[in-house]
This record gives sequence, structure tokens and C-alpha cells, in this order.
Amino acid sequence: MEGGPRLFAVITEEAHKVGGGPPIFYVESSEEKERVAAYISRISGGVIHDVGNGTYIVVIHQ
Amino acid sequence: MGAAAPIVRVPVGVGFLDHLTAILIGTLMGSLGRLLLLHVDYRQYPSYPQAYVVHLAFGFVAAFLGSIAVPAIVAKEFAAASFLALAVTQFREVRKIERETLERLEKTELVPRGTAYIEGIAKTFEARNYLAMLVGLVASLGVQIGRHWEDPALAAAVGILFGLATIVMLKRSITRAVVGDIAHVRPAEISFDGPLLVVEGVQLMNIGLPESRQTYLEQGLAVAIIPKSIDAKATLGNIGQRQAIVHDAATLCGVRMDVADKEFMPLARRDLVSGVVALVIVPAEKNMEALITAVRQTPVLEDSVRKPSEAEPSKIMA
Repeated sequence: MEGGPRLFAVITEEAHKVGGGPPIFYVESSEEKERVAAYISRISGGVIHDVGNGTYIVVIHQ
Repeated sequence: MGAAAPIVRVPVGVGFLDHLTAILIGTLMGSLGRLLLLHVDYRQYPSYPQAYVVHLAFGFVAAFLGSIAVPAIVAKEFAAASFLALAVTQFREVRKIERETLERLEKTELVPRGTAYIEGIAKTFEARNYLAMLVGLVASLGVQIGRHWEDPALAAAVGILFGLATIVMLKRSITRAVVGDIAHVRPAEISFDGPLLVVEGVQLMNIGLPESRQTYLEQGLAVAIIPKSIDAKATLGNIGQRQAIVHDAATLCGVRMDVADKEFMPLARRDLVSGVVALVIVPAEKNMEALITAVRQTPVLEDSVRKPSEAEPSKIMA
């Protein structure tokens, strides 16, 4: 619980909908989005969440 | 010289032997009590054989200290009885050591125990040393009482009897409740509302990858833990209690996950209105009966027990 969840990366098909702090990965298709998200979550140990607007976020739950 | 020998021998010799019997019986019974309270089960804690030796040694020392108290008082050595106070300080240290060890090990657990479970375990170990001490004390008291019949064998037998009775009584009184006592556990369906994993109408987690959702639907198991009373509802609301249930379920049924697969971390979340706890897990082997049994036999943590029904506000609400 300590520290709370930390947003590690954003993977999106919709470039205009996302901005800000964490690294953002722009992708062309949903397949690419899934692949990139899976790779990043493997590396970071984070969990992939779907925020519904063509965007995945990888969050590290401490 | 010949006449002096019996005068020296009788009071010192007999008294010492009697005390020795009391201490010996007390120490033996106390150590036996500690041994009976130690058992290796699915928790694998204390670990076997090293931690076993540690706890038996502590139990032996506790029993010895306990059994010294009565002979010390009989011999009018009141200062020696203050040993017990020293023992209390030592055993508090036991609790601290247990807590620190488990907290350090927490990082190596796939599904953590949680601080409440750790605190419960640490407290149990401290308490059991006191129990060993108490058994030692009562057994040596038994020997002291048995001396009235002036038969050493009878005195020892009374001591053993006292010790055994204390062990049986304590063993019965310190048995903790389990989740099965305070709640019904039944199978539940896993479904998805978009990316949201839903069990019993409770949203547990947002699962991004369709592949992972498929894994949950195919391999996952879920149960609903329905509290039997308002007290059980409050107890199951405790985060530590739920983490303990999750930890035990994962230990007993296995988990299909590794360090990087946090999306398959077993979870228990509660329904805000009914207090029903939904638990989801992707077990190593899909067996609902085993999961239900695992959840049922999770101990109710002493520190998570709540009894709102005993207080005024809940009587007004009812």
C-alpha cells in the first residue's frame, strides 16, 4: 500500500488525447498497442489497464 | 562427626531433591506443552527444522523459569521469583524478532502475508512462550501440593497431572476462529464489464489485455465470502484480514503467476453495501472445492476482529 500506484507508461492509438508526464508510446493499431503494452509490463512489472479511449496505461502497484 | 552428618544431610538434601523434582517436572511439562503447540502445517511457519529448534529452546527456557518460581517462594527466596519479570522482557523480544523476520521475508513472497497476519503470528509466538511458562509454573505447583502425601512418586504424578490439565485447557482456549465460522463461502462467477473484472457485482480490477481477460475466464476461480453477522462484516472489511485470506488461498491452491505477472495477483474486494467479499485467483490447479476449503480455514486475525454489535450505535441501527 505504501507509496500507492505509479503510472509508468501510456500506450495510445489516439495521439491527440494523451499528454503529460509519463513516457507515451504512440502506436498504429490495437495489435501493436497490446504488444507494446505487454513488453513494457514485462520489463516494469506493472499491470496493463485499459482506460477505454484507445489507450492503455501501465501502472506499477506497490 | 558421625552424628553431624544426618543433621546436615536431611534438611538440605531432601529440600533440594524436592525442589529438583518440581523444577524437573515443571520444565518437562512446559516444554511438552510448547512442543504440542508447535506443528508444521501448510503455513510452513515456523520453518522446519531450524526454527523448530529455536522455538523449542525458547519454550524450554520459559518452562524452566516458570517452574523455578514455586520452589523459590517455598524456599523463601522471593527475589528469585522476580525472574519471571525478566522472562517477560525476553519474550517480548521473541515477538520483535518474529515480526522482523517475517517482514523481511515478505519481499520474497509472491502473494504477501500482509502486516496484520505477521503481527498475529508474532503475537502467537510470544503468547506460546508465556503458556510454556504457565504450564511449568502450574506443574511445579502440583509437585509442591503433592508433597503433602510424602511420596515423591505421588508428588511427581500430581505435578504431571496438573501440567497436562493446563496444557489441555490452554490448547482448547487459544484455538482461533476461522473464516468458515464467521462467513459462508460459495462459488462465484467471473465476468468482464469492458476491461473491468467483476465478481458478484464487485469490480475487482481493470485488466487491459484481452489475452489476460481470457486467462481469467478460462483458468480463474472466484468465491463470494458472505459474512454471517454485522461483526463478521466489519471483520472481513479489515484489509489485513482479506490479505490473510488471499495469502492462504494462494499458498494452498497455488498461483499461476510470477514476479512480472502482477495482473494475476489474487485479490479480495468487498461490496460496499452488503459487505460480501469477492475473491478472485488464477490457481495452479483449477479446483473450486479446494479453494473454498482454503478460504474457510484461514484464521480470523485477532487484530482484525471487530464487534460493533456490542456497542450502542449498532443497537440503535438495528
